[in-house]
Amino acid sequence: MKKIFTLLITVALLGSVSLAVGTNSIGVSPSTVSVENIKPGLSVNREIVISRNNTEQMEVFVATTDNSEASSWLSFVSSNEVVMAKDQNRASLFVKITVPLDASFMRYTPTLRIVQKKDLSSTGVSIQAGVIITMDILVTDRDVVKLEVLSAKIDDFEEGQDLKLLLTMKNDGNVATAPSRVMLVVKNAAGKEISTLESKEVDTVEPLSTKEVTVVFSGHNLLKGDYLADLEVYDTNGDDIFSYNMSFRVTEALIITPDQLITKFYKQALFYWPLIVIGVVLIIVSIIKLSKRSDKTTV
Amino acid sequence: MLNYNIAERHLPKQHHRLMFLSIVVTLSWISSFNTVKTIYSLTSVDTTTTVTVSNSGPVFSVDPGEDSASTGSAPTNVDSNVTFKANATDVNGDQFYLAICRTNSITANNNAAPTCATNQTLCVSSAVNSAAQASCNYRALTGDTETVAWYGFACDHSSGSACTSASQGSSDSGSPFNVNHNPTFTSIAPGSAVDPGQDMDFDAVAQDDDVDTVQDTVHLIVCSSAGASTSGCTNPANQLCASSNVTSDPSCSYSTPGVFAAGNHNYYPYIFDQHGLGATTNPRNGTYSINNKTPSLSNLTLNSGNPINLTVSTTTSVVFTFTASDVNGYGTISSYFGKLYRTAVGVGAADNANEHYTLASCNISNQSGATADYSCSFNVQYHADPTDVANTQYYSDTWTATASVTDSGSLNASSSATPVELNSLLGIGIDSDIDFGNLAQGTDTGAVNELTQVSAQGNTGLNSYVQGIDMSDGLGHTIAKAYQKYSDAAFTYSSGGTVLTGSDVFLDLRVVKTTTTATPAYKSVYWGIAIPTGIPAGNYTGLNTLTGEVSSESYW
Repeated sequence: MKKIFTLLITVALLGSVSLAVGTNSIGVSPSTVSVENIKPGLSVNREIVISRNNTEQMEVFVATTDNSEASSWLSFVSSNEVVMAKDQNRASLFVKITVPLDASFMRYTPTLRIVQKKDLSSTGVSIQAGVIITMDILVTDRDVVKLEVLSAKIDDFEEGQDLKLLLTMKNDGNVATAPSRVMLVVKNAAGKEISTLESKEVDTVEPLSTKEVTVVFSGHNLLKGDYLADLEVYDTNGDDIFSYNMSFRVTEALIITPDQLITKFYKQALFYWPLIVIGVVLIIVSIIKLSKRSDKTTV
Repeated sequence: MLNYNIAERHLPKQHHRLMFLSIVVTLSWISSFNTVKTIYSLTSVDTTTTVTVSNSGPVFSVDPGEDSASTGSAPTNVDSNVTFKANATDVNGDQFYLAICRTNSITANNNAAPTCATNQTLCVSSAVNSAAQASCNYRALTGDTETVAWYGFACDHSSGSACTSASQGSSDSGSPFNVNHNPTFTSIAPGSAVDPGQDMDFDAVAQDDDVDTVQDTVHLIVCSSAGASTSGCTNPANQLCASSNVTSDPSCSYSTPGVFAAGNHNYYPYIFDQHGLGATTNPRNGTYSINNKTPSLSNLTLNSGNPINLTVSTTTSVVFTFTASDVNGYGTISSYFGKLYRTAVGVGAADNANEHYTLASCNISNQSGATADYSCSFNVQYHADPTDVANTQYYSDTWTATASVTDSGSLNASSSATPVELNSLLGIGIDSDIDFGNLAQGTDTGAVNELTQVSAQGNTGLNSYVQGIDMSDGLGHTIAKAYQKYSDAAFTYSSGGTVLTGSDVFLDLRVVKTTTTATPAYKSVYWGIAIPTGIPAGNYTGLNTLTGEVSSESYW
């Protein structure tokens, strides 16, 4: 019996209860990173959101590339390890895709493997979970213009100030581009059209990137009130790529009180210099007068 | 006869000569008087003689007049006073009264105030001292004609009271005085209901019959609360509108605020004439109506316009923001709802965690004027349908959110955010580690397998890859990984299973996509092990890796 006992191999935890740790999950989104129409020589960053279900302790996720043809194009913006703190269930991994100048014009599908870094513990056979992400990269030599407006916003502003339209734009093409025209039809709260604002001065968005640009409309003469606006954004072909119903508020301009104005004036150096000059002149005049008086007394 | 040669030399100056002449005349008169007196006394008897010296009436030292002058261009309003003033002196030093009568007739009353002819009294002052100023007031009456002639008398206060003859004063302050009568305000009607920001007309039926000098004009003032004078509402902020002066039926137009509550609003109209006298019916009151307008939605944004990334095994808060506006005021928006759904499913579909969600509540902020900002979030389950890449069931679809608001008048608006993609979430769940239990050297698990459940904790179907490392007792002794086997079905160690290797080997699990939150789809991985001979007894541990991969969409 003693011999048999000795030969028993324990391949499990001494306390098997601790094996039941509940479902251990790992997730990535998106499951496929798609980069269409990238030209050789260009690079693009992509975000991958890693998530987990168990947040009881800090955990590290390790990303590695495969050995495929394009795997060397992939690099990690900060690190290939993503640390998720206790109580945190999401974190981002940023992958940089750099297409070499000599890349052939075809589709590449390297993969990323992300695995939770699990220490060997006193368990029998621990199972760690991992995920595989496909990087779907289409390399092309054709110019592709593909501009998209993700969001638009007009912050409330004071009467007399410029109207600033914030556009978040995504350029999924491979050439830098900008809207050819941004048009804003401004209406009062009742929907009655008041004016049409237009701008052709919009910042360019670099290829395969997202950028927030500000389109400034001056001289709109909008008074205090609530306004509605219909936004239209046109691409370089003149096609309407974004239509959006907006609203914003023009608030009353802050009035500077006389006290504030005086305080502001006093703070200006311009206010002190004339006073100093006048003071010096008065002192000189007084000295001259006094000296003349003493001369007369002497006589 | 006194015969005296008035020699030039004795009285060389003229006044001396006159003095002398006067003395002579006086002495002559005294002498003759005494002579006559003596003769009279000798021829008559003694009698008693009495003389009564009569009272003298006062005399105007300042003629009576109006203070201030009541004229055609500056008449006295009905119910306002015309003040008459005059000064008179009485030679007897008596006090005097100022009486203003409608006719040239006065009766002095001894030691009392005088009286005009019956019903002809305008006013009588109290008695004042001689030479002082007397004044009295007449309150203009509605029944007065536009011009009222008057006659002023000063009568003294004495036992034999006497009055002056009538005086009507002179120039503007003289007779007559002018009376301004109230305009007539018959009715007023507001226009039919208008939208906020539109003009509301008020048309009054009103006139003024006074025509003295010129036809009097009237103007209309409309206030939101009671209280006004001819120049406007007591609180200027309450003034809705004011007309110009017109001969009749004034009207004005109120430019209603751009943001204005629907329903009836009180108004208080006033009619005044050009002299500032209001109609006796001021103010009338009534209500005008503002239409209820349909609210509107704007700034609808789902997840800031970005694709949605879900979280494994749980929900993700997806933010949906919008602005609701109502020209009747943001406060009239009485209810709202929001739906998040896969576009092809449609807003009206029933809730289903795979494709359709209903909003629970929103945070409302920036409530002012017509608008309020809504920030809402949907708790989206990990298995909501993805739409991002070709290898998904709904690649051509998107997700959007629709908001709907309803105002207190049951008018509603509905609008949707620009659609976004819902990214595929590759989620793999592993329920437990492997516990092979106690095994003796040279034995294996036979037909008894350890099971590991691999579940789809994302929104895709999945397959997996398997790899592992050697097991170790921590003392330098190992059980090679090749002693472990696995399969997607139960197996007998000696005849089945796949040998574990150190690199990923595909395991075609085909776990379907989870569609019910509480029961994630899963497949089991079956494990077996053999214990080689020649290794020491102990606690051997190892680490296997199950790596998930999105399966072909056809297996979801």
